Amino acid sequence: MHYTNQKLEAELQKIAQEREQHCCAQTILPAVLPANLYDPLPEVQEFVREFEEYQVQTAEFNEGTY
Amino acid sequence: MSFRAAPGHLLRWENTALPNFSNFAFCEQYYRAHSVLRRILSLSRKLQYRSILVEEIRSAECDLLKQENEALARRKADYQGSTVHRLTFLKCLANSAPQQHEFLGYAIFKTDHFGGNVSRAHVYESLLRPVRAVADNNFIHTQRDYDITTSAGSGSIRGVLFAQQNDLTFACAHVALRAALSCVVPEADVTYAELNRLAGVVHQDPHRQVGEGTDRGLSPAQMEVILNHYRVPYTLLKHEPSRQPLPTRIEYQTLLYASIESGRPALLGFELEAHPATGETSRHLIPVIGHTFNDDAWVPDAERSYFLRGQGYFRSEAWLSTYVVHDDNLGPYYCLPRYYLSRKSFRLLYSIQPTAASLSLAEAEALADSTLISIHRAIPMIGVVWYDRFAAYGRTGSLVLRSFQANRRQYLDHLANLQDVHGQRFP
Repeated sequence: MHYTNQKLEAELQKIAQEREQHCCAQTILPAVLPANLYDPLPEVQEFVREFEEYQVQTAEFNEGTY
Repeated sequence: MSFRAAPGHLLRWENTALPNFSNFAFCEQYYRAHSVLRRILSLSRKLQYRSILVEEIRSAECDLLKQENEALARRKADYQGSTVHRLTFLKCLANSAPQQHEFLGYAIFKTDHFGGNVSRAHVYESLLRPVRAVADNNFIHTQRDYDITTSAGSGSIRGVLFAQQNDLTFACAHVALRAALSCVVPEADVTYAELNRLAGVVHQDPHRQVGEGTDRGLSPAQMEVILNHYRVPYTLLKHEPSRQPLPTRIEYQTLLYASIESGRPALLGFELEAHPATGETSRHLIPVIGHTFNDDAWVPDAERSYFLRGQGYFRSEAWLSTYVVHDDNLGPYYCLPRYYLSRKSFRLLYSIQPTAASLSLAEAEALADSTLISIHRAIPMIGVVWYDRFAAYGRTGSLVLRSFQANRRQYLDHLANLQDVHGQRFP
């Protein structure tokens, strides 16, 4: 088997072991989320740029009839 | 006046529940074994029809038929007239008044007559209830309700309008546009006369005709004029490999799925295999109106575990089995397997959206994934079990993202209605 499932299973087991700890997500999340949360990752910026460029470059293509 | 409301003159009312009734024989005896009509009859049988009411529709009593016949007369000098039958598929036996719920569907079968004893037939339009529903993992969010009045009574049918080209005054793009627009315009139907007017088609002008002898249908630019006229928001993707190949990371199926998941149809264009004799290729356009889903699909997990093909998350599209399409050459409600039409043959996609948006759903999905990654990287664990599971799934590239378009109100309502296992909502 590939590592993906094994890694996920290990992560979930770790969570189960630490389940005794409780805190409230409603109060923690806004306090610690980074300010640049919505800044796309570089690879996503690259995908969006490539997608938009392709759409602009091909928008006027008018080949063929249907 | 539409064919659904036109007066019908009773020709026959066949009991299809009889053991000796045959769809093949019926179609061969009255409709020259027309294959698309046979598909419609086959679906009607699956809907458990028990009779077919056959009526003649006359042009003097149906404005739409008169308009179509006038267009044909302009297109072909030897056009002589048409015979039109309305076949209504009923769950009741013949000669018993049908109840509202017993109307299963109808088909308008039009035979056009020309000089030299030539006649050509097509299913001008048809509406059937889908045979399968959500309980059968079939999701057709684009259905509309249509009222029909016959000489035996009136009823209502919910489905997606199907139509077939006549290859003279309307081609595959016309019928695909008609089916798609019928899902979204307030009137739930459009006319070919209007589509041709918008596209600048002139039947008597050899340079502006469509269909037989011209090798012409509608161009993408003409289709965009039509979509813009009806103020239909859409995302566009074109692929002309000889001019600019589709980048590897851009997958047309993502946009197609997003359109269907948003409750809107899409128009999918593809190139056919070259004709063996001439080497020429042509193109075809079909409306995509729904999808089937298989939540036991093996492929998504196997792709990542065995074949190392992943993108950091799962798209819910990965569990899609087939797209539900109408194909005017073949019939209504066919299932097109995902990825059967590869990028090699893909040429054109109009992915219709509920409202205009500044981002395509493919981009929105990529940005959403980016944000989720930022969240779980910044906060790997907080001791709240469902958050921690989310972060674990994110870290291992196992999250499932389902992209569809919702307006601001729908999204805010969704957030307002969320609650945890203790019944707590967002503050």
